[in-house]
Amino acid sequence: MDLMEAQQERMSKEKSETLERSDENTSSINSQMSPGDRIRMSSLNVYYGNSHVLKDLNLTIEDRKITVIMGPSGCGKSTLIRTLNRMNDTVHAFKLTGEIALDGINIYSKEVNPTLLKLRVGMVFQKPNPFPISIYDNVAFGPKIHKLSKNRAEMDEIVMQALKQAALWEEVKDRLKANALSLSGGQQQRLCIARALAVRPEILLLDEPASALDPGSTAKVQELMVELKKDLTLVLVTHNMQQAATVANKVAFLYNGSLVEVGQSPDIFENPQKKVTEDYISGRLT
Amino acid sequence: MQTATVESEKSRKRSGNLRRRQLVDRIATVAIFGAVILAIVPLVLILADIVIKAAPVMSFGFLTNLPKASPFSPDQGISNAIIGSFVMVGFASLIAIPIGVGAGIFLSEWAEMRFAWVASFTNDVLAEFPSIVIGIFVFVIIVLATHSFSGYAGGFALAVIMIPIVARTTEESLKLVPNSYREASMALGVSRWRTITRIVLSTGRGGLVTGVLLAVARVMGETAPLLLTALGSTLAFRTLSQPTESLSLLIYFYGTSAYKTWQAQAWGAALVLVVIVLALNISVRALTRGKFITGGD
Repeated sequence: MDLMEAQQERMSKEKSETLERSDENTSSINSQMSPGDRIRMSSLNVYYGNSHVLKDLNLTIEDRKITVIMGPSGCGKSTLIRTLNRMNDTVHAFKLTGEIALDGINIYSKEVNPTLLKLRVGMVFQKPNPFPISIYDNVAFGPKIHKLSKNRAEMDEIVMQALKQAALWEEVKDRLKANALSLSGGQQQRLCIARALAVRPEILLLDEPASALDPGSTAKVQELMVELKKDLTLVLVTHNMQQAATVANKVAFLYNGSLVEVGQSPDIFENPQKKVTEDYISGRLT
Repeated sequence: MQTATVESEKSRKRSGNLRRRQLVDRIATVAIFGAVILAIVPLVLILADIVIKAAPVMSFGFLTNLPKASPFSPDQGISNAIIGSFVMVGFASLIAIPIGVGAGIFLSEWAEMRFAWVASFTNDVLAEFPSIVIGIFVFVIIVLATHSFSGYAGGFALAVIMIPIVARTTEESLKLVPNSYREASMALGVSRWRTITRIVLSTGRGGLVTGVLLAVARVMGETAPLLLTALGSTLAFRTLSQPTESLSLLIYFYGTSAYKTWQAQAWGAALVLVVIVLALNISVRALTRGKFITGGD
């Protein structure tokens, strides 16, 4: 438990380093936020060069809930989720207007360090992308770089906790030294989740994490997401309706870069307010 | 009846085509094998020629003794050339590997910058530069400035030749590292530079080492740039600030001399040089066998 406290301390220290200042705009945003909200996007527009990818989005992400962003291919889902931890910063001709506030602080303001932001807002990608090193080293990679442990025993503990949290521990505990690429696709994806969890993010972004997996592995990842929301705030991008309906608390339907409809699950599936949403849910729109 | 005729007509035509295609296929196969053999023959002939002509002078003393002023003295050797070659190439590597690897990292990891395109183009041009031109360039800026031919000037000229080779192979091997590794690392709150040192370089190191070794092998045999810079020497190697002998220079001077003994020694030096270069190439093969880049996606 010392370890947990040390981490908490480090996180809060880093947090204040990362996201301090900007009190002026903090107050204005805070006034609009309800207590349960972690992220608030207001008038968010994203452009790649001349193409307008996200159009005037307003959306909030609630604490310890699963917010699902769904919509057909090319509607801007991935762009949206990648703006939440500034993974798009290095993309050529990327431009953003409006605001994304995390706990009331605009993450695109100069005071925020985009590298440290990613420590708080972790990400799991569509295709499993473990490093070609051992299972253990994959999970320990982030904690090692951020010096989350004082010694080997602590690191072992962090790795074990992360793997348990990702429901992978039982399957790999006897072969932690094996190359991560020897795992199956579903195991690799859970390893990537463990790797992301090992640096103790508060928010986890999942960009179609199960789209490259077989049905059994998909089910496991879904169960895992529901389990994880006890401790974490999750944002999931998917175009799989079943998945959205299974895990979502809140669903945002994105179409052509615009937010068409936002609602609670299962209401939005049973009673869509907009025609486009209904078409998409019923499979008439792909 | 008529349809049957048409059918058989068709099938005959088709089988005629097939026979023709099989023939073309066979001819092409034979031609390609022939080309491979023609490509290998000169290599085998040269190697055999070198070994036969080098055999008479080969001895332990040949590798460890110094050249003598008279072509008729006993116990002549090429030790200063062997040492000079290794020291100058070593000096060149000290300059060229850090700069070349650094430039290669830039070309691969900051490829989106416009300057990277310019740098990449310049690098290609430099890689294609005739080595004698590089020799003249170094002659002007170092030899004339210091009023002395030297091993430093020779090593510097070799470094100029190595840099673009190392940069290009580094760039290419790092570009083979899947982008998803970079994203995974960045998403863990790891900075771009640390992502490069901890993930990109360690994943691409096989190709990187290969590039360095190939560059070393390439400059080991360079002669033209050394003629105008290191000059050559018949004395024992003492320091890089003096004219320095190399295997390639020794082959050039002895090979074009009027004395049978020196010509024979040139063959001996040629064998030593070929063995060194072959050893470097074989170690590249050994290092990269089956583990060039691990895992794609």
